[in-house]
Amino acid sequence: MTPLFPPWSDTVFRLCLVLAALGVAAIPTSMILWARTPYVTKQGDPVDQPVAFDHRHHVRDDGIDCLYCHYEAGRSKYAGAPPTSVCMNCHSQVWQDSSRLAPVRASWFGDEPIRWRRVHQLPEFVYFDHSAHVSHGVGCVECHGRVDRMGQVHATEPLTMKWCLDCHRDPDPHLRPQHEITNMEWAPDRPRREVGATVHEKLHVNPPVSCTGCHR
Amino acid sequence: MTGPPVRDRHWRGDGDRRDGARAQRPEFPDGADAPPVISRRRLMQLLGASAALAGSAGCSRGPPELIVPYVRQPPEVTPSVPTLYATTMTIDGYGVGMLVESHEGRPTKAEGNPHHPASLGALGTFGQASVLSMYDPTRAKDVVHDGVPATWAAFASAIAAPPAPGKRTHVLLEPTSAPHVVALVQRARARGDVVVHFDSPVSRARAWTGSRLAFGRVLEPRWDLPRARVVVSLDADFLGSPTAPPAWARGWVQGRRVSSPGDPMSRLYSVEARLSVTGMAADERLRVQARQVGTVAADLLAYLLAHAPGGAPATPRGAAAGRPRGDHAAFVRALGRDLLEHPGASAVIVGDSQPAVVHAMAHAMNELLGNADQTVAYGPSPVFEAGEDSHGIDALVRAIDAGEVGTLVIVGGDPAYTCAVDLDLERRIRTVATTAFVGQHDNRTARLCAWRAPEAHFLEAWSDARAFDGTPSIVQPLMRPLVAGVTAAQVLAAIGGRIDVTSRGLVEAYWRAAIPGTGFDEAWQGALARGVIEDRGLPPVDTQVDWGPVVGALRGPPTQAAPLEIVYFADAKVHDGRFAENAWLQELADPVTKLAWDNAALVSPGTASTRGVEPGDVVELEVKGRTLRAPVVVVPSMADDVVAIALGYGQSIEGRLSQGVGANVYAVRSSRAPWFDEASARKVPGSWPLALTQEHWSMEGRPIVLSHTVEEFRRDPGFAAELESTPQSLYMLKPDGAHQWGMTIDLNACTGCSACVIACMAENNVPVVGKRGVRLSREMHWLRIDRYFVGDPRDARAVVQPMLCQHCEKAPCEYVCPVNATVHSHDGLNEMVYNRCVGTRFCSNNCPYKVRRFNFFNYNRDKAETLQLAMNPDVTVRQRGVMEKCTYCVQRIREVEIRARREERPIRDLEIQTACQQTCPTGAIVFGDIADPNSAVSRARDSARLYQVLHDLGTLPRTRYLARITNPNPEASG
Repeated sequence: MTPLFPPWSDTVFRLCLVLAALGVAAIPTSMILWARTPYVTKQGDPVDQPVAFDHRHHVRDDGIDCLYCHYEAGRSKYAGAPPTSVCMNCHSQVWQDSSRLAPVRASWFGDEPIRWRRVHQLPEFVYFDHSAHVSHGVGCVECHGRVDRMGQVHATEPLTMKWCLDCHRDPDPHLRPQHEITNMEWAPDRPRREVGATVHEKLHVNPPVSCTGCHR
Repeated sequence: MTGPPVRDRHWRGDGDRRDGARAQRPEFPDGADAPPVISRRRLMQLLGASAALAGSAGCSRGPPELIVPYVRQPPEVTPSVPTLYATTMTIDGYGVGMLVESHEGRPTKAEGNPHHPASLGALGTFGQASVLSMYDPTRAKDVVHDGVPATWAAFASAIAAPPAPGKRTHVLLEPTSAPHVVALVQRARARGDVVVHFDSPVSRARAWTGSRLAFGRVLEPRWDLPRARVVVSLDADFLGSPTAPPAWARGWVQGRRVSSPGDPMSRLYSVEARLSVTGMAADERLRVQARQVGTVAADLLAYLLAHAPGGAPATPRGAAAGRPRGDHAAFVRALGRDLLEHPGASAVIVGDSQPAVVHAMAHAMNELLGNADQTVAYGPSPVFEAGEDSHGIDALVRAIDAGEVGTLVIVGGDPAYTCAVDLDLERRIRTVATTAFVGQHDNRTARLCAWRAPEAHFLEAWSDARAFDGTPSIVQPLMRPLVAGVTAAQVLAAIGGRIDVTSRGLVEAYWRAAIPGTGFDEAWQGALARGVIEDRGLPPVDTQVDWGPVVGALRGPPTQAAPLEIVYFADAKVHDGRFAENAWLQELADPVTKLAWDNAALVSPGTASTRGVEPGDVVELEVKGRTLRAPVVVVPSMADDVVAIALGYGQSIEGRLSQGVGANVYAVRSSRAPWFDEASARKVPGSWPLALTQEHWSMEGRPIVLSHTVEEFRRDPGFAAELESTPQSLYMLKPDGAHQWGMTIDLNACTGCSACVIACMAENNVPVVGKRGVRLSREMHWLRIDRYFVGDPRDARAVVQPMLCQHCEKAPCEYVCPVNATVHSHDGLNEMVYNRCVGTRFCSNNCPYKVRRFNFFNYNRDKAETLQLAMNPDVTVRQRGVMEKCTYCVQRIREVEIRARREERPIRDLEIQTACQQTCPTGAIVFGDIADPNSAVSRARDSARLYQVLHDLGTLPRTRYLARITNPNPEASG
């Protein structure tokens, strides 16, 4: 009687078993890894905005401090996009006729908010609080990168929970003196960890690592 | 420990008792977690499809979210930082001050206003639930004339038009204390052809008449109970009624704070037919039919007159002859002695449902006992024309019959539904030429009226109100109106020909005239900021009881018991029916019966057995030839031969929340007997499924709630200590945070009023599951109030216990979670991580306290847009398939932590208040840092009454209870 299957079919069968076993492990692993790729975390992915706002120009050329526009960062959960009135503080005087500012004027005179698109998007169950960070030695640049060098703002950090917790568990390498919070170009004169340790002690930095620190 | 062991004395609900304390009752009813009928093949299809969809959803990145800033940000708004505004809620005309939390212009949560005399920082269930009522998507929205859309201007000119010659415009309002409305009523009456009536189905007319009997004018008692050593409630629910000022309960509890055996303790007597919240808190109870409360009062007064030292006022001594009589003689004698032993330190409080003469007798007793100016002050009623002829619907009915009513304008309420059945208002309204209704819902009255306009909710319009002591306060809106409604004041102004006035304009104009001079703006801003207008209350007056009518009443024969008495009462949840569309209140378990989503014919176990009815049976009640069908619920400790049934149910309006909920008691209630009447009952075939929460999670007779008498406490001060232990363990890892959060709940202070349950729902976005869900034990309340009985069911003493996550240091739920979704924080919280939870429900099965709640469905999906606005943005809205439970309001903890650290200061004691703690009228709940020995919670934990629930399991709960101490009078019990 001729065998129903050729001899190599055993090999194929064994190979399939191995692949199936690997697949069970590989599918979740690849999904977990996938979620951490820059494609999903949107790192380096510039976001088109309704107004062609250029941070390079406002921060570097004009020397405007982050907190001038994002003034809620020190007292609110949200740093937020500024109300149109903040834009108009200057642009009622300068570049009043610029076509690039037409959406801002439309918002101001039409009493319609500008709909900015979020660049740093945290999941809904994360209750991140800007004021807690900005008041405790965490500079803007730590999470947002060199926004002063970005034409269109993009995320530089993954904003994954591991990334958050790495700093919450060991904040010293990421802390800076309180007066350098918005300084994008600050460089420590001593080893960074030492500077951070001083700040840590001075500001009683005590980042939560319990779940409810961020998830409520 | 003295007395019989606790485990033998406690059971819960009548079912438990009959089955024996150790009956093997399953935790959940049959089918509670059974899947819907579905074939295996279909299940596999759905599984495969959902896995595939979940996978594909995980791969996409989704559209970016939007950030929509203000164009011009209001200076008082900081996004994410809520603002509190002071406003006032009005219930039956009486104002209760509150502070409402507004998130970027949308109110989410109400709290009491510490500056307001009726609130003192606490808020009852109605106040807590009021926010949801404003967002109710079924509210009336449009002005309608004969079913056709119309405008407010057309409505206003219709009601302002002069009626035909010989006729008048009649306006029916709810009782009001609002000063600016009063001014407008007077102005409208000045037109000459306008008549204004006030009516409420839960009117206090009898109390007002009683005060007129006793004092010759209408005065209301204002209780100051901290000093009262003996409090007597004659059918009065001053602790539980959501309309009683929370301040009174707060005063009463001052006399109940016993932390060491030497502390004095006040005593509460209750004489009533049904079991009220006050009755549950009472040390001594006398169960009589409501009609006999007057007889008990007369006997008590006679006893006091006969035994008062220094002689009674000029009254015939003979009045006391042969008193007290009957079964209650021992109770009355003991109570009388107790009262006389505490001159000037007692209070005799009468419920609104008792006849006027009982109120008069109580006023006389308070004078005789020297309580006036000690525990009670009398002042004018804040309600406009209280006790005068304009109150009540009789005059309106007579006017309609006489054909004098040309135009009828009804503002608020639902008189066609609530009116006494013998007056047949519905038919009479149809005979009026022009009818107009202004209300928040298209209810039965609205459907009778040609013109309809929406009424503004108090959180979206301006008004004012007076508290029970006359203190005025402003009602200020919290948001731009969801519905273009009008206020009663605007209606009155329209009748006076002024159409284009805003509610704010009317209120401000009144106060501008009332506060003359230049100080107005400052006073106005101050009133808005503080929530009260100082120094403009109605000061108390000196009183002198006129003994004539009181003594006359003593001569009457005692009232005989009826074969069966029906007792009506304002419901703890829907009141007179006005909150029937409020899902939070409907889902709340009644404080006494633990019944949600229904009212029921409440009977005592004795009455149930003599009449052969069981819980869930349907009875037909017949009152003066009119009948009503209602389900039976057996309540221990009620008077025999009494059927008590709550008002406000059975509204039967299609498509509404209240549809099919409960029985309409107004269908039998007559104007001559508005509170109790003779009735007959017969069992009819059928059953009425009831959403009773009391029979879930039976605790199998373990010592969950400790209750001892003050005598036992003095003999054995350490009785609680044996339930307070730290078990030996090899695993001694302790949380290491600087703060360690903990809570104590004083069972001596808790009355079971359930304000905390609603506060928790509002704060924590707790979903409502509906009647069927509750029947399947799927209610989501993070905080429930368990109610137990002690002793013989005929005359059992009730004890209540708020039960919430105990935040065990060694939490059984944490050991069994396969995905680490419930873990312990450094500051001692048992945390629930929703996004890790996969819904195995192991934790719930392993929780000895049964406080974990599972989202069987996506209760928050398809929520009306307006209801989404009511959600607290600081708390995650949970999805289907996750477990949830009390978090100790962790969002409040973290918010204060961040604020304190931003301001570089330590967290102050009591700076963090949980929602339940903040609203509690009696301050029973204390939360704070147990690592700080000086904190309020640490001091509360020093009490000799401290114990752990189920201490022998070694869970080391962070929530500790202070055992309940009662102060019975051995003589009264006979």
